[in-house]
Amino acid sequence: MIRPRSFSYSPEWFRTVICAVSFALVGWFLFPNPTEADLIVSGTDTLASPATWTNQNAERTDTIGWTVTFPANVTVDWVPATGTYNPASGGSASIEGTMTITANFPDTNPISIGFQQVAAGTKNNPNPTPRAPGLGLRFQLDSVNNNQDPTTGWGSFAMKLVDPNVQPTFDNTSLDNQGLHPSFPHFHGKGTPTPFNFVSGSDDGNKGHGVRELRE
Amino acid sequence: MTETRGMGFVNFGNDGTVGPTGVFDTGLIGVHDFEVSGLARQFTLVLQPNTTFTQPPILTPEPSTLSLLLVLAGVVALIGTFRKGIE
Repeated sequence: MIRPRSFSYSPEWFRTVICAVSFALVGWFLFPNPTEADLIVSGTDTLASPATWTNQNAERTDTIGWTVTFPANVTVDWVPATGTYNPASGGSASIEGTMTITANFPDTNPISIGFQQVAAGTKNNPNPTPRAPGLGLRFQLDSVNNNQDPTTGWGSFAMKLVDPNVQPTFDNTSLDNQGLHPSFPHFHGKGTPTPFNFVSGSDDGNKGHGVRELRE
Repeated sequence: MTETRGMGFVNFGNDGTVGPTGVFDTGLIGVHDFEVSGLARQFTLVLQPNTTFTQPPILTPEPSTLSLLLVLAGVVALIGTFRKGIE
């Protein structure tokens, strides 16, 4: 009669391979390789907060708790929102300001601008947060792009917001019941582009395109 | 726990061109990043002419250096254990 042999009676090479594969799988799940962020070259500025807040429970701080970092061929102009800042509104009153980014392109290589939130509770990060739960950073962007290449024209232009981290899935229907708010940074609206037209992305790119990984 | 990896993007073009020394202005467009995890967030805005961005495909996390070291340490430990058992 042939009796099944236990794992400890298996050849040593077989045990080693099985154990190595097992450890690799454990390591794969425990320590996934993070996505690399784009390189930021130089220049950092903080974003001043709107002058008037409606949240009576929050102490107004000079900044909204975010910094922007940009290379030498970029200038950033930040204008805090005027009027009454009401982050709980979820509408235009929750917009924290307008940023004009002027980028000078010597060629068609990409230009990256970094956004970093300071640690919660530090002096430049509102605490308690005046924002609605999960509202986060919200501003209007005017992207002005100068083609400084004397020989090459542009037939299109694209922008993307790259989050180096995988985020917990957000219930993006809770704010407006339209599913326009994924947990990764995203665009809203189509702008008023000149001379190009809006082609794709923005709100359309936020609906159902979030790549999801299931982790237990 | 369900997690999301994705990026916001917007593409312009279709009509018109920007010649050498020309200017392309997007006008005002909203940028939004939720505070989901309660941790300090970060992201990068990438601008690029003559290209089109799309949502990236599903990315299976690659084994990191730490995980590879864990595998190596495990193999060494197991070999040592088996040898000791044989002796």
